[in-house]
Amino acid sequence: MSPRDYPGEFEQAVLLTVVRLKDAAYGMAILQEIVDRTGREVGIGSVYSALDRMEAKGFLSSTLGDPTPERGGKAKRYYRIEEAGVAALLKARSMYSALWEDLTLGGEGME
Amino acid sequence: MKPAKGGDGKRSVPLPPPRWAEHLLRLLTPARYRDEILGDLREGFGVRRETDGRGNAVRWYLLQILMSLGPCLAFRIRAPRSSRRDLTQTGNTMIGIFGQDFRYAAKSFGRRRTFLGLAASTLGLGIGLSTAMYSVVHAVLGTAPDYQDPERVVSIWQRVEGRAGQTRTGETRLQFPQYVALRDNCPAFSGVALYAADWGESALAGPDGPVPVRVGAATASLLPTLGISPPLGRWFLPEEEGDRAGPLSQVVVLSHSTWAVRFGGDPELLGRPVVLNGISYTVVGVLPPGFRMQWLSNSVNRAADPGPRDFWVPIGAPGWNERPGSTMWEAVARLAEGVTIEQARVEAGPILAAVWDRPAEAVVIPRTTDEARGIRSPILLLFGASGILLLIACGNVALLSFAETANRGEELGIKTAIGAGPGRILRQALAESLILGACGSAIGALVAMWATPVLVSMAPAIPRLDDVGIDGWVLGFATGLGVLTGLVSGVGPALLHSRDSASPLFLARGWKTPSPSQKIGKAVLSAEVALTFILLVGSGLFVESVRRVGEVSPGFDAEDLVGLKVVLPRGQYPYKDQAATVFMERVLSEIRAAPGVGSASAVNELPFPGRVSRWAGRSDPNDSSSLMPKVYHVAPGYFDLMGIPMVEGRDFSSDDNLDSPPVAVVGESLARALWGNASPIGRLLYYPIEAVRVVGVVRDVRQVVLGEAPPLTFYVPHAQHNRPELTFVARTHVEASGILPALRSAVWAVDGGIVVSEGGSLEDAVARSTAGLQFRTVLMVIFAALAALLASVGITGLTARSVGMRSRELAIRQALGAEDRPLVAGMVGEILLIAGIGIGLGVPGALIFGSAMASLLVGVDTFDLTVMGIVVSLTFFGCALASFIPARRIVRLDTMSVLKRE
Repeated sequence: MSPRDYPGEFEQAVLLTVVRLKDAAYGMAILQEIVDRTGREVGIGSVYSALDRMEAKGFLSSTLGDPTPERGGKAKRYYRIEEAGVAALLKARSMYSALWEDLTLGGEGME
Repeated sequence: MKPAKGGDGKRSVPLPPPRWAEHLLRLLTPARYRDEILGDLREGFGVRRETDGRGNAVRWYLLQILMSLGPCLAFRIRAPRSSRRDLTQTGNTMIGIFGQDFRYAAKSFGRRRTFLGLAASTLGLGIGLSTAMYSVVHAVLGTAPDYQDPERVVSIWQRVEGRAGQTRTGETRLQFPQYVALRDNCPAFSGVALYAADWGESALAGPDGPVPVRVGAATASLLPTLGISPPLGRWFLPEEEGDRAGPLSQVVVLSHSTWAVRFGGDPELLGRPVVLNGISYTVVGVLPPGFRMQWLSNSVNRAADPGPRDFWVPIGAPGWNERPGSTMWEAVARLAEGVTIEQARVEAGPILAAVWDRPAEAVVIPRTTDEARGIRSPILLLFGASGILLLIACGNVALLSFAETANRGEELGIKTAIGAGPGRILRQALAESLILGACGSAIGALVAMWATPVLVSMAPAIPRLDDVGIDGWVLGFATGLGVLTGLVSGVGPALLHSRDSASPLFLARGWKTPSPSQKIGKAVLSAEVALTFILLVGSGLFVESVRRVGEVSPGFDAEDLVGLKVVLPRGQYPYKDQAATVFMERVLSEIRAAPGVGSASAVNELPFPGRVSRWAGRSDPNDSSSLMPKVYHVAPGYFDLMGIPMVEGRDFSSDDNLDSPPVAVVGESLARALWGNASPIGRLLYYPIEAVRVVGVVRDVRQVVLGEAPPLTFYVPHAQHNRPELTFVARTHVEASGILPALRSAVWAVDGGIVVSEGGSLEDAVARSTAGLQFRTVLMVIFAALAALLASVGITGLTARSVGMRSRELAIRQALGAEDRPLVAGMVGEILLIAGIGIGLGVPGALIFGSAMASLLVGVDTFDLTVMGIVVSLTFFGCALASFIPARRIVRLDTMSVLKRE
C-alpha cells in the first residue's frame, strides 16, 4: 500500500463528516460540522481541496443538487463515501490503533 | 448553528455578501468548484448575517476568502496534473493552467535557444531604439514642469498686424505696460508675470576681475504665478519691480547651483552684496534646485538654448528696465479658477490692443505646449521612425515564428491528435510569446540604457534634454512594448497554424507544402519592404537636404570671424543719442588694438542667429502691399569685414550720422522686388519709422538657417539709430575661444556695467543653424539602415526556408534535367515580386511620411524624383541580393540524398 492511500488528518475529518451527514453532505454543511465538532476554523477552499483530492482517489463520489435562492441560484454538490473511502478510513484507524497499542505517554499519569 | 437547508419559505431570500467580495472570490476560485464555493459561502453568509449581524458576517466571509487563498492556489497549480482535465478542459482558470503553460514554454525554449536568441535580440533592438526615442519624447514633451497645477499655467503672446513676430508662428512678446494692464484689469488670470531669460552674459565682480554670468530679469509675480517658493530667503516684492523702482530694485536671487557652487552653499549669504555690471545688489533669496525658465524653442532664434540663469534681478533693476515700447518680455500667467484658455484669450486681446494702440490679438497657450512647440514635430517624426523600425522587427520575428511553427508541425500535430484543442495550443503560444516579449523587453532595456546617452550627446540643443534618462515610465514603456510585440509576432503565427494543421500527420511525415502561413509570410515581407522603403525615402530626403545645405554659401566669409554681443542699458544710452555710437567706436578701437585681431566692425546682430526685426518696406509711401524685409544696423566697414560683395553704390562711412540725411544699403533681392531692374541708388525706401535714401546695393546673405533662401534685407547705419544691441565682429588669426576674453575686456574697459551676451565663432553659429537637420539625418539614416538590415535578414530567411521546403520538388526537377539557373532566377524573381508589391505599398506611405517631414526639409521637395529613383533601385537591388545568396543553395542541392531522405 502506497502512502498516498492513507488519507491525511484533515482528509479523515472530511471523510468522517461526509459519513455522519449522510444525504446532506455538501461543502457548507461539511465545513460547519467540522467547525462545530472540532472548534477549529476551517476555510471552504481547504474543504474542497480535500474533497477534490479524495474524489480523484475514488474515496468519494459527488452529484449536483438543485440550485436554491439562498445560494444565489447555485447548486449544491453532494458527496457520498465510496468503498475505497471506507477501506481507507478503516486502514487509517487500524494504523493508528496499531501505533497506539499498549502505549502510554510519559506524562499521562501526571495529568 | 446549522446551515439553512433551503426552501423553508418563512422569509425572503437573505441578503447576499458584498459584491466586491464575491468578485474577489470568483477570481480566486478554480472554475471547477466556483459555483459550489460561491453558493456555499453565500448560504453561510446569509445564516451568519441573520444570527451575528452584517459586520460579523462580512468579517467571516473575508476570513473565508483569506483562508481559501492558499488551498485555491494550490488547487489550481495541482489541477492540470490530472490528465483528464489537462488536454480537454479549456475553460479552466488562469494561474494553475498558465503556470503549466509557462513551464512548458520555458522548457520548449530551452531546446530552441537559437530561435529564442535571434527573435529576442531582433525584438530587443526594435524595443531598445523605440524606448530610447520614447525617453526623449517622455522627458521633452511628456513631463509637466514642477509648477503647482501645471495645466493652469499658460504663456501669453500677441499677434500684431504688420509684424513678423518673434516666433516661427508669428507671435510677438509683450510690452511692460501690457503686463501692467493684464495684471490690473484681467480677472481671467489669477497671476501674470514677465521675464527675460535669453539675454546674454553680465559681469560679476570677483577677486580676479569680472566673470561672465547669466542674469535673468522677472517681475515679482513670477514665482507666485508658477506656484514655486524659494527654499532660502525670498523672491522679489511688488515694490521692487518696475521702471521707477530704482535703487529698491537692487536685489538679486541666486539659482541653487550658483549658490551651492559659487558661494559654497553659504546660508549667511542672504543680505550680503554681489556686484553685477558694476552695480551692487543685495542677495535676498535662493531658488529651488533645477529651477529655470525653459527656452521656448519656437522663438525665432532657433540656434541654441541660452541656458539657465545664474542670477535673477527684478525688471526695473539698472540695465534691466522696462524700455517703453519694447516687446522683449516673455509672459507667463495662471488661469483663474474655472476660466478656459479661450475665455482668457478673448478677455486679454482687447486689453493688449488698448495699451499698444495697434490691432493686436492675444495668443494663450498651455505652458507645456509652448515650451515644446518648435521641436514637437521633429521629435515625434523620429519617434514614428523608431516605431516603424519596431514594426519591421516584429515582422521578422513573426517570420521566424512561422518557420518555427512549421518545423514544430510534428509536435503540434501530435498534440492536436491526442486532443489538444486550438485553445490549448493558443495558450501555449501565448505563454511562449510572453516569455519572448519579456526577453525582448530585457534586451530592449539594455539597448535603451546604452542608446539614450548616445542620443542625448548627439542631439542639438532642445529644452529639457538634461532630463532625458531611463526611469520607471521608460522601463514600463519597454515592458509594454515587449509584451505587445511578443504577442503580435508570436500568437499570430500560432493562430495561422491552427488553420494550417488540418492534417497533422501529413505534416508529420515531412510533406511540407506551401501553406497559408507561407502566403502570410510573403505578405509580412511585402509590408516590411514597404516600411523599409518609407524609412529609406525619409532618410534620403534628409541626406539630400544636408547635401544641398552643404553646397550653399552663406553669402559671406564666416571663416575666422568672431562675434560678441552686448546690450546697452537704455538709461545711459538713449535711442537716437550719440552715446551708443561713441561707445561703439571706442570699443572697436580697443578691439583692433588687441593682439590677434585683423579688422573689426559692428552690427546689431550677426546673420546667424539673425533675429532682427522685420519692418514693412515700400518704394511708394502710399503702397499698401508692403514687403517685410529684415533690417540690420551696421557700423562702417561691416560689408568689407564680412566679405559681402558690394554690387553698386557705396558703403556707410562715419559721415552717416545723426546730423546727416538717413541712408540705407539694400540687398539685391529687395532692390529687385521694389524697383525691378532699375538702379535703386538715390531712391527712397519707406518704412514705418522713416524714409531712407538708398546709397548702395549688396549681395544677398543667408540668415537664421543655412539652406533657407536669403530673406529680403536692408541695412542702415548704426550711428543714425543707436539701437541698444551691438555685436562686435572681429576677423582673427587665432581660435575664437582665445580671442573672446580679449573682446570682453575691450567692452568692459570702456564701460564695466555692460551686459555682455553670447559670443563665439561665426562658423560655429552657421554650422549650429543646421545641427537639428544633421541630427535628424543621422538618426534617420541609422533607423533606415537597421530597417534595411532587418528586412534583408527576413528575405534571406524566407528564401532559405522556401528552398528547404521545396527541396523535394527542386531535387526532382533537377533529376529530370532542369538547369540550376532558371530555378535560382525563379526564387529571386519571387522575392522581387514581393519587393515590387512592397514598393507599391511604400510609395503612398512615403508620400504621407514625407509630407509630415516637409517643414523639416531644406531645399528638397517631399516628392523628390532623384531620391525616389535611388531608393527604388536600392530596394530592388537589396532584395535581389538578399534572396540570391540563399537561393544559390539550389545549385549545391544533392539530388540523390534529398530523394533518399524521402
